Amino acid sequence: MDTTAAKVKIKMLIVEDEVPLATAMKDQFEREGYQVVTAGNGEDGLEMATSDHPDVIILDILMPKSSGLDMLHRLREQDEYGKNVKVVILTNLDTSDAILKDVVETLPTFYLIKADTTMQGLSDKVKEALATQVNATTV
Amino acid sequence: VIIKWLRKLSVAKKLAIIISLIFLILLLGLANFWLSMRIMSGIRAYVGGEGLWSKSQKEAVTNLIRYSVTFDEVDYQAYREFLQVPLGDKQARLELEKKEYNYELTRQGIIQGGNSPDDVDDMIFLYRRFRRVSYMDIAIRDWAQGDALIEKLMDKGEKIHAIISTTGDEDDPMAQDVRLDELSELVMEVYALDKELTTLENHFSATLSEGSRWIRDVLFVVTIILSILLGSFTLFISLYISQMIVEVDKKKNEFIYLVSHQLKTPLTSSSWYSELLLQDHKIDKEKRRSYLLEISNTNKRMVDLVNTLLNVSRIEMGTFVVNPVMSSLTSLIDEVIASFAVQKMKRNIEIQKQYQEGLPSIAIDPQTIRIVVSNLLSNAIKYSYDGGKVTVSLSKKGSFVQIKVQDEGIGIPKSEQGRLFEKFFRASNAKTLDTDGSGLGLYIVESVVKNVGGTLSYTSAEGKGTSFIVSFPLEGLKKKRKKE
Repeated sequence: MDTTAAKVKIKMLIVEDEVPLATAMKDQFEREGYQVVTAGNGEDGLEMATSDHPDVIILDILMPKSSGLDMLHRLREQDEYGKNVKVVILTNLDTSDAILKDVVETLPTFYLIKADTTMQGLSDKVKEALATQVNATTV
Repeated sequence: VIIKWLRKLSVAKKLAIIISLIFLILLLGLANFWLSMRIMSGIRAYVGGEGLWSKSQKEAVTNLIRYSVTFDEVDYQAYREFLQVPLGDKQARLELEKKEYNYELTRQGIIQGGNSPDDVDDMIFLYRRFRRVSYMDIAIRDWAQGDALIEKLMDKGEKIHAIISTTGDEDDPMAQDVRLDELSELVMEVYALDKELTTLENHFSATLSEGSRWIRDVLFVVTIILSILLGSFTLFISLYISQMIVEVDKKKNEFIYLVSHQLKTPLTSSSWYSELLLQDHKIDKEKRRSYLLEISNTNKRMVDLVNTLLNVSRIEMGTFVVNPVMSSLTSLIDEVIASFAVQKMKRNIEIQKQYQEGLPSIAIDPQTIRIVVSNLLSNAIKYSYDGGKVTVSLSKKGSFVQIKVQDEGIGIPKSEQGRLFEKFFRASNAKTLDTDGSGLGLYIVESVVKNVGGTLSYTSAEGKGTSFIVSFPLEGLKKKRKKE
């Protein structure tokens, strides 16, 4: 990581199995100056989060192999980083769908419904999530 | 086989079957109860009747013998009076032996036999229904033999009466001696008859008692079996219903998944890409094109999904309209194949056509054929390996025309083949390969094909490929009008 410059890029992990959605978000956030990596399921997502330590994770719930909530459970239990990383859940499942308990337990920073969220809105929420992180104000 | 057959039925039909089975078992239980009661009551009445019969017969003999000593007409009348009981029973028996019996005569006989009028029906029932059952048969033979002996007794009685009422020479001791000798001879014969009758009477009762014990055992076993049946059936129903509730819940969740993931996702996608296009900064031409293409694709996906859901709803509500018109299957299938050009190219799939020459035009509904073939073809392409081959063949087999769609793709795991046509079902290997799928395609194909009088079959081997065969009768598809 380029630690000398003031423009430290914020690292973002997008975990989303729908390629068009992942691509749209990647384009948007890269344009805004983030360093973006993507994963197509919970398992790959957990691996990338563990190795790359992104500053923020945008996480879908319904995915093949391992769901977003499974991944987040494991990440939260894993280590200090996993416990504190900012996570924005972005899904089309609303919290009435018997997942509320899991959502509460895994402590995401935000829970957003895809169909109700604009790119701009998502961008604002990500910034809001990151706001407490003093080192990452240079975007 | 039964479970497979049950699986295919609609929930309403399953419930109707279950309810009728419960009803049937309850009816059987009631019938069993009613039958047991009637049989037992009938046997009790016969054993009671036999008691009266024997008592009267004994009284008759006693009075006849007393008459032979007292020469008192009163005794003779008493003897005749007592005989009325066995004679009444005989009248009933003779009537019941007839093919068509007279109810009134029978009833009269039974009541004359000293039986309660309330027992008449049960006694007739037992006699007529169980005439050929061994115990009843033996008892009735005893009864008939008893009647024959009663006749003999009456013959002796008449002779005794004749001797006593003959006014002989009172003062002729010789003549008197002859009379007394004759009388004592007859009395001895009456004693012998009485002894024979006693043996028969005992046998009759013993036979009926044995029969009633046998029936008790049979009815006991039947009752136990019915109870076990009813019990296990109730258990089965409870398990089935709870399973059904779980299943319905699962289906509901699958539907929520379907709608949320498959309808909201393309909606989100087209909205986001539009937003990207509308942003102020410059986007290069290539990116712009890819964004627009994405919007167009997601729109198509939504239209397809809405059509699929509409078809499911039409099938389930019985409003799926089929309007057969004479058309060429080959050109219709060519048209469907042509519509898959993009998917085919993306995966580098080769589609081979094998159409039999000179197929006749048949009455088909183009929309139905399109739904069937495009669903099968879409699956064949989706679940082929890249660069694979899909064969679409069309041929005449007997009085059917056959459409076969064959691929060399991932196949269907054997353990999951039984559930292939279930709504929302997707094979595990299909889910891993492609998360985008409603699990409705084959459900629709099967329902539609059945609906128009066709058949659907398949063969599949995991990792080697699948082929689906749809057959339609040459005389054309069944017309289905919209229900009013």
